[in-house]
Amino acid sequence: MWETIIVNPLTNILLFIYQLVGSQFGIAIIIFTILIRVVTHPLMAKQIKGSQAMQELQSNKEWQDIQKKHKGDKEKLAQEQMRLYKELGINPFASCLPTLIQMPIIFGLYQSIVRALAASPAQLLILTGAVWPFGGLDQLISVNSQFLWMNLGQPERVYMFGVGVPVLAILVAITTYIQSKVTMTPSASPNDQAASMNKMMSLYMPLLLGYFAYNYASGLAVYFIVSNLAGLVQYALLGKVNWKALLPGKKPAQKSLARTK
Amino acid sequence: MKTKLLLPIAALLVVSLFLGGCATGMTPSSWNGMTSDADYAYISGGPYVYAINLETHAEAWRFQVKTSAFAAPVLTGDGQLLVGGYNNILYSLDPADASENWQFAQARDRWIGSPLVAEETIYAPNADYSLYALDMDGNLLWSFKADQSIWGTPVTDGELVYFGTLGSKVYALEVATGELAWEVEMDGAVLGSPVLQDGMLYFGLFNGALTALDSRDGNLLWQEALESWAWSGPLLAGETLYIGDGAGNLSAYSLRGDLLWKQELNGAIVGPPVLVAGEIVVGSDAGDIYFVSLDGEDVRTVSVGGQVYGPLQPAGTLILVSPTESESESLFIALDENGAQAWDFTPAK
Repeated sequence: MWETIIVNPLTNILLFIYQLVGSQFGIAIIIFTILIRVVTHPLMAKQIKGSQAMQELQSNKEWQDIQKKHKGDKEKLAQEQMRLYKELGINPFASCLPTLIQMPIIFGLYQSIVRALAASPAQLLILTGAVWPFGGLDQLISVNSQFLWMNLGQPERVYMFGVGVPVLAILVAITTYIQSKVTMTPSASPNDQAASMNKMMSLYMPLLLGYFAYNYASGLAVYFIVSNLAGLVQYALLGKVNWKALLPGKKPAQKSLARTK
Repeated sequence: MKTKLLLPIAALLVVSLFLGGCATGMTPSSWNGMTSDADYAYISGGPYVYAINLETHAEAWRFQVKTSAFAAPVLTGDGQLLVGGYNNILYSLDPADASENWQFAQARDRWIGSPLVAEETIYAPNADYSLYALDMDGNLLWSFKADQSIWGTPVTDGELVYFGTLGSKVYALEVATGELAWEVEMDGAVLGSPVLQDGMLYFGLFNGALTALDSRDGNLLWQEALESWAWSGPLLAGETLYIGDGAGNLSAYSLRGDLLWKQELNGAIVGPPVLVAGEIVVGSDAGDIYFVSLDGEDVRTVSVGGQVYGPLQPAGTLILVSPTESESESLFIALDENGAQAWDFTPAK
């Protein structure tokens, strides 16, 4: 089901792009990643907006008063929360629903890159079953994995004085850190769970993705880097990039949520 | 642990598992490769290469390859066993006890195809697009960079060495220097090994064709369409070429490219056919082994379960089969010439 609906169509689109760009798989990954980012941009914009509204609610005076007042009564607190959402025009699902819709596409994209590279006989055999038998795509199933200095099917190293330096893995870690840091939604509340989660993710995700980029095919590293840069551009277009967050000791400014009524 | 940390840790774990799970798709895998002499079978079976005594059916030794090895090991005339790993290293082992003679570690990618050994030279194809020529001590004589990965074992006539690539090219190189004699672009990728006889080169193409080239200059002599992809090269027996395809057909062609007969079998045929006791034997991904008479009239089917992708290995009167994703944990099954299971080998944990 997952394969049929998500991974196989994405694999075929990726191979179609590969065909269009003259059998350059690296270029195909870059275009494909940007294309998916563009297609999912409206969802991302909604997510950012919803997420920011939820964050700003934490510093809302009325909400803080309600929390104090109904501290021991969870049912009443929930009722008041829903009333406040309605009054302020906040949709509590606006931040998570777009993410949930995007996630299968993003993971599918990642898997389709892995699949299209088909770096061993068993992987190629799987790919033969996934490729649509029209448009000449079935003739493309052994992709040219050479791109710039990289073999996209192999972990990347640049050899300097006999030492293999994982340039892409380092770039993955750096771009992931920058993206998570400058796009993090600020929080005024020290007990805000979402904020602490964001903070922790901004520390561990660069290491995690860097680890994957270090150990697995460099095609994935190219995807991670392009995806991070495209994400930065998306946030910048929405005016949500806070470059000051990269400076040590700088706390992002906190806006307060005004009543919309 | 603070409860506020639980959510981020859980989220991180989910992402790690998902990415890790997807990335295991990047962990290269294949089907087992085999070779044998009169006394032992040698099997590249993932993390280990095994030597199995064909008389006692006992494991003589196992050699660990970091990551894995799947290419069929190669026995040389001077008593070496060559094993190519997915860790980019080509090993020379003593077949008696698996002690290492030498390693060749200059390749940048996996050893998917087995090397050819001819006239004191090892011609080793690598997925890094290169063909490496080594002397029998593992010293590099020359290397040649092709357009794409090389998965099939080359062939040679003593003057030129021939091989095809996943980039749909066929190359002929001078054996002494590695200089390019000629190259031709085909219609489809060449995954398997060519067959060379009397100045003719026969290839199976992944776009679904059997093709014949003039080995002197690479001129196309004829090309016949198959119903589906050809993964392996053909078998040449007598004056007939036998080739399987992805649609499950086993076809016989004359050396001029005339279709002599075609048998529709069950399941895609990946491995090359082999000749055993006057019959063509081939496996399919439906888990069947087919014994087909040379005229294509008689077909016997033996079901071994799993999927049979790798080449079948004749060993004396036995045929060794290593099915993939079989319910049994056997590394391989030994069939007698009637197709009955003689014994199987399951490695100890």
